[in-house]
Amino acid sequence: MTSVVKTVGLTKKYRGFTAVSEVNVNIEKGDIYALIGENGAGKSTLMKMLSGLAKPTAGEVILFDNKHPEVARYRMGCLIDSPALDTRLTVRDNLEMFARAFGCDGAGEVERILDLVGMTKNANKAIKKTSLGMKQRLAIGIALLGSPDFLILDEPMNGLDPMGIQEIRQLLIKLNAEKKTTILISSHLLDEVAKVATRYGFMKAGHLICELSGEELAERSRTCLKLKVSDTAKASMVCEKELGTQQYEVMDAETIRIFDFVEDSAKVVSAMVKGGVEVGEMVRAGESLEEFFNDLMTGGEAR
Amino acid sequence: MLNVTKASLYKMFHDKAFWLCLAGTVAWAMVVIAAQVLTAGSRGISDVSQLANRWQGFIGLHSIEVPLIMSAVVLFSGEFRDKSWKLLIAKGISKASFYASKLISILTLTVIISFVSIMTTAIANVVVLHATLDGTYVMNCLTFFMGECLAHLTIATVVLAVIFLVRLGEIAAIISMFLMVFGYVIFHAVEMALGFGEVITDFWAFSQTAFVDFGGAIHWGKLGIVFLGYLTVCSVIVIASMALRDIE
Repeated sequence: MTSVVKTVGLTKKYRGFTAVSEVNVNIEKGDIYALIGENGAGKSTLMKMLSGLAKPTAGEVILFDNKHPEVARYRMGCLIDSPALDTRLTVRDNLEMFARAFGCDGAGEVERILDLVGMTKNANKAIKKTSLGMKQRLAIGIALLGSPDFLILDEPMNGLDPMGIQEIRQLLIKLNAEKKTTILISSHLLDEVAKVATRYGFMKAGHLICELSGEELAERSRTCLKLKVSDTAKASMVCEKELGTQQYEVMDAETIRIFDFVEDSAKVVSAMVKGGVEVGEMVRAGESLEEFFNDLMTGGEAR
Repeated sequence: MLNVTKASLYKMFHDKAFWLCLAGTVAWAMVVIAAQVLTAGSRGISDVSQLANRWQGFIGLHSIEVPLIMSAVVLFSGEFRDKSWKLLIAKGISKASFYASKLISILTLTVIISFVSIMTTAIANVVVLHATLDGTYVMNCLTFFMGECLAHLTIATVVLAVIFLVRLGEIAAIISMFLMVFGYVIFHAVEMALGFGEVITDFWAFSQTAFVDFGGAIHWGKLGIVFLGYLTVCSVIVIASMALRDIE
């Protein structure tokens, strides 16, 4: 896979406060990488450093295999902070202006973007008279000018109505599928993020504490029986010999997850006891992204 | 840089503020002429046609500086307020290119405002004050326009530097207006106190219009050198201040 962004020990400090601490992240071509964390976790600061809007205190950003990211940033599109629009111009004029600045004011580019973000009917509206949702759509449109290879979208769903969220989600999936656009997205709408992301990075207090692929998260989301046992080796034997299943996973020295017999937990307990395994605790588990995030933020260890 | 300049000029010409400022420039020139005519009697001028040769008085009443400062502040500080300039930086456009594009735009704006103001006054001079419209008058108008233009380009570099350093439109407008109204007085007091004669005020940006006379001498060399000097110094200060900012 081709690396689009790679950071090595990326750190940002503001007067003694460390906003981002030695983050090593590798986003590959075609990823939709969701950056998840509480307010103040360092997501926006990390995105700003990637897009050149904040100077790293330490570490480096390698963009499209180039150690001088500033020369590769023309391949990026950004939406960071609130929509940065010229409020005295119309929707179309904003797009026209940025298209000129980005050197992509060729035939039909502005019309294509207006169509893409569903703003054709409001093209001649003054920015002052548009809703927050429309501004957000336009800001996404500006980020899409010139068909960038890499998109950084900080809270792109902010201010959008449910229909708008759905449209933007579909747009991102389409761009990723058709043009292999790599996307770095942050959002507090975890359910929405879960519908588009292929990889996840969880940040807490400036640290990237956990990375998961979509498959890994889906795996964690499977309903299972989570048992605290006296001996996981013995418990594994019981699973294979007594219960006849290989659908289990040893999590740590005393935890095992069994993905079969979820509706028949009594059978599992009985088999464990028969096999000489003490069961200290058994819960039915199955984590959504939100539950996984909550678990991480409340002190659960990165797994 | 060419693309950013194209974008900057596109923005300027599509902003209502630009056209309002041009309308304001015309209106201001007319007000100045009307005031001259209406107060002619109280100043002992019985025939208003005598005013036809007093160009210096017309243009000297900040007919170009005021619209220039107001329009520059409105047009060029907005990008800092809206943070839209950050989108350019995030696209890999250098801060120096961004500044250069704004510099070209404000110089263009200065030429346009100077032209509109001087042409309005020139036409009113003929229509209202019955100045003789002949080849000499036209040549004098054009030469005066070019001289005033060069003097105001110097002022424009200072105003743009103030905008880039302050970033807040209202504050930039107040500082620029203060420099326009009180700059000479302050620098003159300083040079007097130091016993320098007029060494400082001779080179003060807002004083350069004094070296342009309608139908008279225009100190092209001095105007040109002062403009290039301010252009260089202001650009260095702005680019250095931008380099210190926490943006790549």
